[in-house]
Amino acid sequence: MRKEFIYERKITYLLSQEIFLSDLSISAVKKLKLVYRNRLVDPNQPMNPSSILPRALFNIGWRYLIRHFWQSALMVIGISLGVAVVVGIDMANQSASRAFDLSTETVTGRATHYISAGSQGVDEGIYAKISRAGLGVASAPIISDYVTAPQLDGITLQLLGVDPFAEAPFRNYLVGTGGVPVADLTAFLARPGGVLVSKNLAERYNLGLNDQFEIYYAGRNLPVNVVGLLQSDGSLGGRALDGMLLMDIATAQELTGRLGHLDRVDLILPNGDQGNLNAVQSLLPPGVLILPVEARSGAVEQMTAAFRLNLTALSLLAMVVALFLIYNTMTFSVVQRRPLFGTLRSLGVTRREIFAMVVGEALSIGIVGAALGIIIGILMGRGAVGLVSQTINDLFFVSTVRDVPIPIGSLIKGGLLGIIATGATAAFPAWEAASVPPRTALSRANLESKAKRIVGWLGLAGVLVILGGIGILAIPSKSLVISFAGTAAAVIGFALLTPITTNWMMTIGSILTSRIWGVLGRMAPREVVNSISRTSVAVAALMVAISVTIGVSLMVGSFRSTVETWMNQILHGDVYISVPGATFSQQLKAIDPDVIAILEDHLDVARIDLLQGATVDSPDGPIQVSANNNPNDDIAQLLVDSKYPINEIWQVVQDGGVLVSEPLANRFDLPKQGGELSLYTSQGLGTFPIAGIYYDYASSQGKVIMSLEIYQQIWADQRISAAALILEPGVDARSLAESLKIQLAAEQSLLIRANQDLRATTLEVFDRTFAITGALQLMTTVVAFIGVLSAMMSLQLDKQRQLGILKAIGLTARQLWQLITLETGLMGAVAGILAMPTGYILALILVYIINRRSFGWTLQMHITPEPFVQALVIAVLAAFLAGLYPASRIIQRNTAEAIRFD
Amino acid sequence: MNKTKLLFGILLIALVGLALAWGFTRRAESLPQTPTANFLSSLEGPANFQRAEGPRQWSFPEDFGPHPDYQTEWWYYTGNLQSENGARFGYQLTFFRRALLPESTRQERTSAWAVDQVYMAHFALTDVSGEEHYAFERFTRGAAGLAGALADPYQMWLENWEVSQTAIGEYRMKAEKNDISLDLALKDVKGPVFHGEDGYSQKGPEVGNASYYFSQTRLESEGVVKVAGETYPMTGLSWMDHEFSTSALSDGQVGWDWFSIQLDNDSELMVFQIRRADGDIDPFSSGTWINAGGNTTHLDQDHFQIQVLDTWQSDTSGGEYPARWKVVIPSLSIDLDIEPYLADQEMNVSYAYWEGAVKVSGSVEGETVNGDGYVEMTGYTASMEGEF
Repeated sequence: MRKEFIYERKITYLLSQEIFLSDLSISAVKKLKLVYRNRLVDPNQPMNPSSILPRALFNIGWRYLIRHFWQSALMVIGISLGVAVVVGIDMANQSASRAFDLSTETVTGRATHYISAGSQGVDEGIYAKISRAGLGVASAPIISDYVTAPQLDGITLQLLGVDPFAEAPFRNYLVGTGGVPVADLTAFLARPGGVLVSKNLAERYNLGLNDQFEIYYAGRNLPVNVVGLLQSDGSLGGRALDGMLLMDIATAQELTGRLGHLDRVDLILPNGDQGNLNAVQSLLPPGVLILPVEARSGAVEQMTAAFRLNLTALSLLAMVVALFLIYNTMTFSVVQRRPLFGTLRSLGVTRREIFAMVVGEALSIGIVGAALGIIIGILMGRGAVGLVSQTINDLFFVSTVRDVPIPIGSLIKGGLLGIIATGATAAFPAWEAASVPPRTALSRANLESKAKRIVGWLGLAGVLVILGGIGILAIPSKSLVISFAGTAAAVIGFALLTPITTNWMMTIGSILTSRIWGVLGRMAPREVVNSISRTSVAVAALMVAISVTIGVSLMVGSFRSTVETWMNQILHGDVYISVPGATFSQQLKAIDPDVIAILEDHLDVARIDLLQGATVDSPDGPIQVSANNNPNDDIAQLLVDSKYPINEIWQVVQDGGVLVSEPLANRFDLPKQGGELSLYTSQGLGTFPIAGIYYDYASSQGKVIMSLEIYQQIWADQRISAAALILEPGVDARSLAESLKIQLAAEQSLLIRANQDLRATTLEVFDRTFAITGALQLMTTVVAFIGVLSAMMSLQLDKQRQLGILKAIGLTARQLWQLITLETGLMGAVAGILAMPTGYILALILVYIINRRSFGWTLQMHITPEPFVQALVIAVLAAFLAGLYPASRIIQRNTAEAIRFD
Repeated sequence: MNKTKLLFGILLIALVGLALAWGFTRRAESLPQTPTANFLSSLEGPANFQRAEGPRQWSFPEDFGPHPDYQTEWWYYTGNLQSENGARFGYQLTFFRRALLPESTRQERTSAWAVDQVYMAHFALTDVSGEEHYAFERFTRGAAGLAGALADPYQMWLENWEVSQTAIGEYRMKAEKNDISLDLALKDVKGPVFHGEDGYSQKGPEVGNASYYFSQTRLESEGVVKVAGETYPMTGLSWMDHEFSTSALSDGQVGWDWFSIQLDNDSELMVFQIRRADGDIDPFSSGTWINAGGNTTHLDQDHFQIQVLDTWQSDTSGGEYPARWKVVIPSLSIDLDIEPYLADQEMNVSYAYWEGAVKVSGSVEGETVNGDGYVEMTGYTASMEGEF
């Protein structure tokens, strides 16, 4: 009874304090009273899980979020953008890899192995030999390639030539699982140029049975005839059919000109059936191999995985920046409500309940933000899918699968990440709130002095985390995950150094600012220091975002300038000639021998260098080979390392040595000097001494250069896929290229480009590759901007009383403006200045560690002032803009009202 | 109600919903992909192919080979084999050729895989003592060395099923699938026997609804049969039918019953009857009697009667087939009882038919005879009209 009496009095007292009215309604207090009075009477009540967070407490949290609408909205926007970026990128990654899987699955079917003889193809006689041997092994001859269809919006189609009689065990889109309707197959088999397309494709382009359209392949337009429509069953796999041009193997041979050859023979050897594998192998000539199907897709999968991981890391960064925002805002809301928490605690609300209330608030923000983020993410993802697919098409493989449905897994992942991370981030402020002692309405000053004490410790922790990051990066591993973990540690370390650096810089800065702005110039830096617990988080968030912008820009810039320099060294021809492929990543096609003959006889041509680009099998999977016939004059500049003197290297190559590109040496862990490379030749496995390792940025999978003569001897492949013309002095490359285009049009449609045009195209592809990176950086900066805006608003709103007093003692509106924007501008400047060394170190890591170790690319660090200047401008501008709204709100507010607010 | 609970409840429902949706799409993805293809139907009807329109001038060895301008052609090997220790097998190895285009519409193609002929083969083995019937079917293109027929030296193959000439009138036959294999040396003792009017076998009243048809009615056979790891040395007799035509069956003709009988008095009999949709026997049914000396007697439909004494119903196709017969040819005093060695010798391949080894007993001109044979019955599950 006495307890209750005391409780009543306490409530009455508290009710007399206005503070209540700001965040608690009378009815909420009454309800709380009821709950806690009952709790006094019945001590068991708190044990009941349903009362962990009484409705009244929930209302308090809820009302707080509603009352501070803009603050809540900014948190929601921050989280939603973070989630959106993660979802969008994950969607793009998933779609790209799904599209790749689908394309591969559709073409591979149930095959487990395939017979390969590199890019020159398998002799067609091998297939009959196998089928007549009666081994009982399912086998199917395949010709596959990519073509474009100029009349169908220029789309890329997967040309697949099959033998319908051999298909049933492999792929069922043609013959189902039953027998072959021979009569139905008549046109498919017997009509030259007869093809099947999917019904969807036919409907989209208004094609019907018997209609003709043209495909563009290896520099020629070839007519094809629709002899049948493939009806997809609507499943995901069916979508892959939409990009398919299915035809009889004979038609495929005739269209691609690959008479006498097959690209491969698919086999089904369940569980690696060694007996049959050996039996088939014994029928094959040397150098023709049986490879597991994974060998074909494995390398591509690996390379795209690295690319996708890069994007994921960048997308997570946006999330991290969003979490800074959450942390900052939640901390602020806790600080602002310390008196309230003190009161609640004295009313009997437990620490646990306070903790749950604050985390609950954050979680509600998290859930709303995540839900919104998923929706924005889907929209963003649609754009990202295009960018990512384009890059993957440019660099790795051709995918003809277009619309992959939204991967729901990505949405769940992104959403959960947003909610959980928000909850976890709010844990610290929640703990802070729960630790407020009862009845003590501590002022913020208390917290700030506490914060000041730990600034030094934070700095020390920052140094330790940076050292830890360096330690992680010192681990000699190609793993991108390890590299990114080390990088993340370094960035977090720098973020931890933010508070102490801010203090220092404000001390130094005030000398400068006081000189310019007098009293205001002294006040502003001090204000930043005085509320260091919140200013530093905002500064850190902005710093991280900006530093990543600097780091990535420097890396991309270095990469670009390295590629430019490298192109100067490697592109020594005046005019380049090749056959257009369906996409950039596609394998080169052969130039007509007639064309070569014309070029050789051309009066303006001083020298012609020939190159055959081929894919050769190796024990470690397919390898791209560039066989050329010219001693590269600039080999010295391109050489990474060699055990031979520079002037002997070309001789070693002509004697059968090979030059391997840096990424390949990295992939296969080849020794810097000496070493050998094993390749399958038509005589079986051959070993080639490595003449040297050279710089190459054209392929992340790696490349091998060998002598054209040796290549032609060993692989019996006389085709030429590219020619470089060195012109007689005084001949203009561009005008010759133009005249050759006209002259050779009758022979073959070719890509004839002057040196500078080829460079421009290459750089265009390069820029396209990094387009998505740029977009991600921008998103991260937007999130950081929202973070700063939110922090500024909180800060300035918190200081209303102080500003009110300043106003009351005579500060003009203009001076107030100056004070606030000076303060925010200073914060931005600190973030921008701190971001410079951080960004530079990030660039060093990206250029010298990640690119080198994980991709095998040596880049020359190319430092330009632009990213730094840009970063500072963005930081100051973002902070300045963020101060505008709070400033205008305060200035408009009635002075008396502002002072009363406390 | 507690709002937190409500909130978490909503969240949980949302998550479960998302998970379900995800699981659903996953399942949809893993469904087998069985799209169907709509094909442009056959370019050419039978009209532009060559047709059997009257007796032809036979020319060997060329006529052992293929006649690609006729739409359909087959080489039908059947035989009954016995071992010394009493094992008995019947076998069938048939090669079918079908032309996709008549000569007039064929185009010059550069690929070795380009095709206007498609081959199909059926391989069956009846293990009489083991009471098992094995049947296999294969299709392939008549190009790129995968399947084909050559006249001189005679060779007939589809992948690793083949019959090839080893000497004049002597052949080697090999077929293998799973653990069933056949490896026989065949020796033709009578030379080609021509049916109908010097090999012109009329099947319907219209001009062209006929085939060119000859047989090797007595091929002495010796070799091995392997079934499930067991090897059986066998001897016996085989029969080869070579027939080519373009659209042999007329309207209303639904199928045929065909008998090839090899008797122990060195004579052979071939009779076939074409059944009509109304149940009647078509007047274009006919047969050939080959005596021990190799002389042939043509039999018209009214020269013989085939009585069905029993029937058997297939569990697989549901078709009800005759299962025991009496064949009577009054003019030659032939009276034969015919009975399958095994009831279920149905070929369940892309179309169902019955083709099986039969046991023959009876009398010829009062003398008791025994023998073996093969019977083929088509059109009991679906009409053969317009098919091979």
